[in-house]
Amino acid sequence: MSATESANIVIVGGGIQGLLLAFNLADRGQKDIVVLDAGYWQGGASGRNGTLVRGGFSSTEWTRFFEHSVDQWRGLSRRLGHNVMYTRRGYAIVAESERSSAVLDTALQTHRECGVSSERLSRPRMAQVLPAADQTRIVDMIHLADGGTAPHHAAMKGALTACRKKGVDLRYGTEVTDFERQNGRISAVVCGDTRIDADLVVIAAGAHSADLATKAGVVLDAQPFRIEAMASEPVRPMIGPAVALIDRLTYVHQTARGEIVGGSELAGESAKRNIISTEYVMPRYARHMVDMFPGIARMRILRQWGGMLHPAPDGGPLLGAHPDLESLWFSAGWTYGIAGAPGAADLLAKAIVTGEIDERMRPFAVDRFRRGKPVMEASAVIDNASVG
Amino acid sequence: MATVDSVPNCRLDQMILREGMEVVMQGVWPSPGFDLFRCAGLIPRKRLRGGFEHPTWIPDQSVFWHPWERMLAFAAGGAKPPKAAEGSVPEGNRIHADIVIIGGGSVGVAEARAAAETMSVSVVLVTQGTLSETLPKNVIVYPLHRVFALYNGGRLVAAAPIDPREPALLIDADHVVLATGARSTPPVVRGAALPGVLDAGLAMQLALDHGVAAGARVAVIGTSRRHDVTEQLETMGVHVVGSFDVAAVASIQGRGHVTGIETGDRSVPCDAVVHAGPWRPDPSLPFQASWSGELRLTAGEVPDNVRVAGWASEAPEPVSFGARDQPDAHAFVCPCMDVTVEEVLTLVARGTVHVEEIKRLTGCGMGPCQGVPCWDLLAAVVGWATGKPTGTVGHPTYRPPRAALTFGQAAGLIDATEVAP
Repeated sequence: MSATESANIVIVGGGIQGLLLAFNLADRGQKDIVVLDAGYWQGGASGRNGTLVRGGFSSTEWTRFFEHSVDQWRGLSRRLGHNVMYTRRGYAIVAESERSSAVLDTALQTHRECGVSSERLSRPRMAQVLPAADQTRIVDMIHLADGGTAPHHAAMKGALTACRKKGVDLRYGTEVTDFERQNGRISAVVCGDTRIDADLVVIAAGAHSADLATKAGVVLDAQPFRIEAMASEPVRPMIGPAVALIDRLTYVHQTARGEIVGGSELAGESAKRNIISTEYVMPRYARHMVDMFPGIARMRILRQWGGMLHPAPDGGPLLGAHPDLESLWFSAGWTYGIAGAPGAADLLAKAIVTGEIDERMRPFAVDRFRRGKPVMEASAVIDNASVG
Repeated sequence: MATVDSVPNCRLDQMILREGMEVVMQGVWPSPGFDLFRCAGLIPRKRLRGGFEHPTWIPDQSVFWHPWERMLAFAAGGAKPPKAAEGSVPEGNRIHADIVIIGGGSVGVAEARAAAETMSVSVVLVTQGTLSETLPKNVIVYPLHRVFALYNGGRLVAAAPIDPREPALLIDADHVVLATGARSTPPVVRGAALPGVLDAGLAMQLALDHGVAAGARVAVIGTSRRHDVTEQLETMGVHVVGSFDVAAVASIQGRGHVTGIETGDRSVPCDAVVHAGPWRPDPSLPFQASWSGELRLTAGEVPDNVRVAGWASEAPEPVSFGARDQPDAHAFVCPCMDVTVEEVLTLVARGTVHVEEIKRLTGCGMGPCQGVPCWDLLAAVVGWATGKPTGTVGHPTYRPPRAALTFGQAAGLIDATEVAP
């Protein structure tokens, strides 16, 4: 070992989770925070996602947690001193079957209980909210007024700038090769020739989190899962809100520069770990889009790309300390990472600094599967059969 | 760019005029004659780093942000979305071939003839142009098709016809020959993005296929391999005012369109500039055939089932900074997304040297051309600024589709593909 350094907190992963957590910890007065990332800035899921933000789901656990995150999104630009371009353009959850409509029944009930602003749309309102859609296919629709999008380039730039201002030590292109343990607790992070002694380590490394957990000698219940997204050529505003077509496992929105960006998860595809584009996702996403927005058939697809999620068996995040190794924390298992990042960062920072586990975070504890307590959620655009 | 027959974002310089065509100009508001968007030209360049979408130009989260965003979306979108039309999902095809040759130039044709000598072998040739000669019977030719991807390590070739009403095509290929040639890369000098600056391929196509000269007085600039282009243009009746070494060109002059070039110590008046070199092969398809990685996709060795032939296999000529020994701050790296050399140099000076990060901060290469050729220019500028050899700087990922296809064409491929378990 050629160099030994020390830090108060080491965060492994410089994506939206790691950066916002570092910012929140620094904002709560923590010093000597180091963020390590094996890749480049925005190289992981934080630079590849669909940028959709919503608070309302069908389970109370998800809704309470993500609604808190939406609250955080609203004030984030001011806190970071940089416009993260979060836009409350609304979020439409579209059902095309009676079965999905029943999911929306449950969701509405949950939204009411949790105080989420949501509206079940009448036929004329549906046509107003999604005029480009084939109205005959829509059975039911919920509109979440506070949902919207947060473009990752702006959100990540805001997070990066704010971390730098707070004196967080950010190191991209720095791979963690090992962890050291002492007396049942994690004691250091090793990056090649450098060892960083740390009081506390947080792994927030997206799809690489489970591998890192293995290196630290613990098990994390989640697996890398590749999905693909696509962007169209730019046109004038055609799709107003963020849209989830839950029967089609498809999500889409139109960016401020006019591109229509979205993707489809394919039911039955098994977990894969790579970010390579395939021939079979694009036709299926295109078919869903042409069915729902017929005019798009004559528009062009400019690029397709892949990225990795890291779903836990129930699709929810894995937040908090690991029960088997003291001082090792996680912000992992993300599928709705961009939506949940500010909320998770806020609650995790609070837990790390004060020791108090917030009720909204508690259901997503890292050891919930071993305790037989998964959190079931039906309105997420995730194929539970393929992630579970 | 214009909306033609209600299809947005059509390049007028690449369309043949037809009787009854309905053309609406894009990127102008409210009309081409009285265009308020032109006022954007008055804004100092420094204020435009990162474009209108980046923080210099967006108000902080406040009541102003949402109306501003709506205005941006309206301006950036450029054109009205198309309306639904009958028959816009043409059903795709999937075929098998022992050998697929991509490119219909002399190399592609020779490769096809050689491959077809073994009569039992099925050969497919895909070209974005048309072939003037007849090939042996066991060669199936797909003219006016662009290969948009090599999937699955080059074992699956994906192509789409230029006419969006025609179906896309997948070819399972045992062997692929990339005879995609080399294309001329514009020099990194000011004025290289002006209307009237054309690459040699386009200028030749205009002259050859349509009998149209690139201009009344054409200047050819390029490397030592520019002379063929000059000769051929002259043979076809194009008035060439001179052929100049690109390494002596200081700038291309003009406002709104080309009026001349500055070369050596003189200024040569002209109304079009054809660049013929440096010649570089298109990196997209070899990249897709050989990519790997989880943190970042990088090109590897092209697999054994893919062979690169002819011009495409030759080493790229280095990107030219013209007569300067450093890139001109006012030159464009990516004209589609308004990325200048100055903007890239500013980022590098602040420590951002990763091409993927620069792409995400500037949008460089995210327009319709998808990084060809601008990521080569980006790599050259970053290489110069960091003192690294250009080859070690790398490129962002050359994603499919290399050439755009419509949602309808893509959707038509659903029965031709299976979800990998």
